[in-house]
This record gives sequence, structure tokens and C-alpha cells, in this order.
Amino acid sequence: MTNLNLKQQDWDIRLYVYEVFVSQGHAPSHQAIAGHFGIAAAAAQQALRRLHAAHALFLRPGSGDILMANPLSAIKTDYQVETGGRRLYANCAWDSLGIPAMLQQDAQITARHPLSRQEIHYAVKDGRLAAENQGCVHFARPFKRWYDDIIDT
Amino acid sequence: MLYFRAKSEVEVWCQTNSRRPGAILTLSQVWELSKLWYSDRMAPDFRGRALESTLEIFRTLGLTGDFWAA
Repeated sequence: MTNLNLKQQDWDIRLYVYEVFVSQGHAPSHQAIAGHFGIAAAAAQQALRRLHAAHALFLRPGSGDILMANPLSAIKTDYQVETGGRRLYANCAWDSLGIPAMLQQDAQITARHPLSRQEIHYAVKDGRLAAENQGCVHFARPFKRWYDDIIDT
Repeated sequence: MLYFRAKSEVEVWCQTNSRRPGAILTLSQVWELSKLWYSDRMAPDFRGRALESTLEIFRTLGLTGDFWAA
């Protein structure tokens, strides 16, 4: 994440996006952001584009809609996280653990196996990965290439 | 980043998808990485993370070498 001349309001919008994501399970539209902050819709879109450029969140390609506010995904994925009585979606296996880490809450994760498509379950309880959880995570791209294609990463 | 039950499954997935193997971390390692990476993400004063701080997180977890370099 690079701080590319973001304004205070950009950071405020970023935090609002996360708060809506967590409380409602989906990302706010730029119209909702504009309404919350009392700014023009175009100004909200510009702020989202600045946040995207700074890797503070990510927009859908060719769209002004929010796709990711890592570790949260605006679309259903293979990594479903139940935490605090709500269902959230993570962008990847790492982010499925990133959600309980960010919220500092217990979580039950249901993932789809990349090969068999079978359900896999793992959990975080009392700040720890539940003891029976094993397995591994494949990081396909080296760190220096993560942001070349965030969706593939 | 995809979850697998075993490293052998990663090899199958790479062959199936014509991808070169990257780095494989245990789920426990990824949990430790998650805590360092995301615990401050919703703090009101969060302003991103400097590259050096990111690399320090990797070093703390023993993630070194070209794969984890900037």
C-alpha cells in the first residue's frame, strides 16, 4: 500500500468502506459514500480511484465499484467467513484468516478446495487457529508481483 | 492464495493450471502473517504500511529470499 497524496477525507472514506463492509456484508456504493459524507457522487468516485491507486482498496476493472477492501471481498468467493453472527467473503485463503485477525473475533471458515471443490472447514477461536486445523496456502506470485494483477494474486 | 490440504496438492494444481510453484506456507504460518498484516487495518489512524515495515513483517516470520523481496 502506497500513500499517494491521499487526503484526510480519502482515509475517512476508506474507513467508512470497511465499517459498512463489516456491518452490512457488502461494500457501499459511491452514491452511499457521497450521501454519508455530504459530497458529490463524482467526488466520491474520485476518492475511490485515489484509494485504488494507493492500493488502499481495489475497484472492479472497468468500473467504479469496490471489489476488494482486503481482506474483504465484495463478491462471493471460495472463502466464506462466519464471524460475529454475520457472513463475510474473503479474497483468498490468506484473507480468510485476515478477517478474524482484523476483527479480533472468532471465525468459522468454509472454503472450497481448488481441485475437488469439496468444502473445507477451519476456524479461529480465542485468538488461535483451532488445533485440528492443518493444511497449507500457496502463494503463487512473489511479493514484488502481487499488485501487477491483484485479482490473480 | 489458495488453500490446500497438502503440498502434493499444490504440485497437482500447478500442473493442472500450467503455473510455476510459488511459496507454500502452513496454515499456522498464514495465521501469524494475518495477525501482523491485518490487525491494524480498521484502526482510525491506519495510513497504510511503509515498504520497510512490510519487509520487517516477512523477516519476523522467517519469510526471506527473493520471493519475499521488494
